[in-house]
Amino acid sequence: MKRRLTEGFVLIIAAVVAFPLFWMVLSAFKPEDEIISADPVPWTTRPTLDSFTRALTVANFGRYFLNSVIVALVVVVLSILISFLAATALTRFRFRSRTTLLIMLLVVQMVPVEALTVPLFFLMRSVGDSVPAFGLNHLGSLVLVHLAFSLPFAIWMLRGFVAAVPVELEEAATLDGASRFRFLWQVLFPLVAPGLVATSVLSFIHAWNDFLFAKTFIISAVENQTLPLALQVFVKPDQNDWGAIMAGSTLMTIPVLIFFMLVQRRLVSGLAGAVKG
Amino acid sequence: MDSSGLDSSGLGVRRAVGFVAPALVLIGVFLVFPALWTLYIGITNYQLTGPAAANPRVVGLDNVVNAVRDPLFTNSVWLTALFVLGSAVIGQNVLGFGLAWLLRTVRPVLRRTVEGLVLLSWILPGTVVAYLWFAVLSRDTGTLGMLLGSPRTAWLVQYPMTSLIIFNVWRGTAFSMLLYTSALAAVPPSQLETARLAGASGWQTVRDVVFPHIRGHVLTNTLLISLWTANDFTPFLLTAGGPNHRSEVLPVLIYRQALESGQLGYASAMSMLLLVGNLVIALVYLRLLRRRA
Repeated sequence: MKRRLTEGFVLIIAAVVAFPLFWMVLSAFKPEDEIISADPVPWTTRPTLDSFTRALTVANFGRYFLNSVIVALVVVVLSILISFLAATALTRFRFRSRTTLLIMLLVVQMVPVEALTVPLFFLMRSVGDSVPAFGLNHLGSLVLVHLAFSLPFAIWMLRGFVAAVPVELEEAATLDGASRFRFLWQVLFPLVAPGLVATSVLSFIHAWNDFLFAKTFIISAVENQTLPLALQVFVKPDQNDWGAIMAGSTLMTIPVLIFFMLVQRRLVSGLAGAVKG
Repeated sequence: MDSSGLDSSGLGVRRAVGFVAPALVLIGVFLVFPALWTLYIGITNYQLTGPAAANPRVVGLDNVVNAVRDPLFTNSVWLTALFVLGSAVIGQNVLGFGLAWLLRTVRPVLRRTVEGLVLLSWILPGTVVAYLWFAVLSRDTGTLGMLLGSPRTAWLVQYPMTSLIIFNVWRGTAFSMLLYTSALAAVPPSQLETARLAGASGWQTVRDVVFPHIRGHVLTNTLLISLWTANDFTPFLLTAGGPNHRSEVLPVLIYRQALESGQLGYASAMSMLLLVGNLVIALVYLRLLRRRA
């Protein structure tokens, strides 16, 4: 009886949480007259792909989609490699300023991002003077910034995972004749994989969802814009094109969903381990 | 320092430095350096346009003094505190724990579905989510208004802060839920059983048996979600601070002062104050955490 009650309550919460998501997908498939209708119904009898067609053709969606995917994937791969190496060194190697460094990693996560847009804009302009691919209006600038912003948290999380691997294991591997390099990639790397999954999800979300930096850095190069900005095309002062916005949003959600489903199990155990560590 | 010494795995100084270097260079150049630059801009009268743009002058702590006297700033501090307290410290914490607690006993299928949905609202792009909520909450065509039979209620205009808080609870509960799920798994079942046999109520069990076990998790979670919420920029996409500054939390105020009014120096000084606020919260948390030991 009590369990029934609990389950009923949980179901209600699930429905409330799911409602906006359901509404998004529904609106994406509704014909235009039903969307602007004064009497909206939570279903549609005439599903159509019109909104998707508008989103894909009018806004050059494919191009932006590709840009977002490139930025997010490069950030994920690089942040895994860089944070893994850094976390290993910071855990296994004790040097004098280590504690200071670790505290610094914690403090930089508190810096309000909005505050940095202006200095970063100037910084990227200078970077672009010497290396255009990483300067303003290029995807490289977004990669650099997202990397820098996701690394502190990633290193912080991975530390616990590296620390949980016993040093004896490393000694055994060395005795068996494994090189330091082999130990690192064939023993340690797989062992901290749950942590890497959790951090990669966070850096993926960071890069994929970013609106602020894309808006600040990609000013004139329309072909290098990312998805969050592309959606704005349909926001008009007089009449928002809700159908296209929802269709675009649905499309933008799909990669997150795929990425997420691939790692859901590991994400939960990864977050758990990170906090214990 | 443990018995294995300075370099427990024989990494060697050169390799250790080589491993840390890429991360430190990236963080240093693109995070710490701009942050210090912001600190510097904060003590000047730098502006986006006009004479002060070409020749910014160092004005010392004038910006800070002006900010403290600025009703817009104090209003914003107040709203940010409300936002953090309402949506993170109370909202996400309580709902996250509640869900984790309830989900222990329900069928696995149901548990995974709810977990998946809650997580989904967390990982969805901020822009997507903002449009979504805008559609649900806006006047005339707003879904919520339609469903409640009061289409003329513009939720984001009439109750901007309440809307933002509910939105942020909806969006951010996933992290707390995950964290508490793992924390609850570490509570010894025998103790819960004993509490049940002793006839303790649900609330007594949570307070006297569960809470002492998960105190560290509660503090870590509260700290992280408070900091994330204090720095959250998504309210800009929903209300842009309006109407009439009624939902202008600090990140939004800073952004608007910097890029809409062009007061770069003033905005930087305000972000410095926000950073100080974050640090104070973190210190209080470290204090509380240490008292445990």
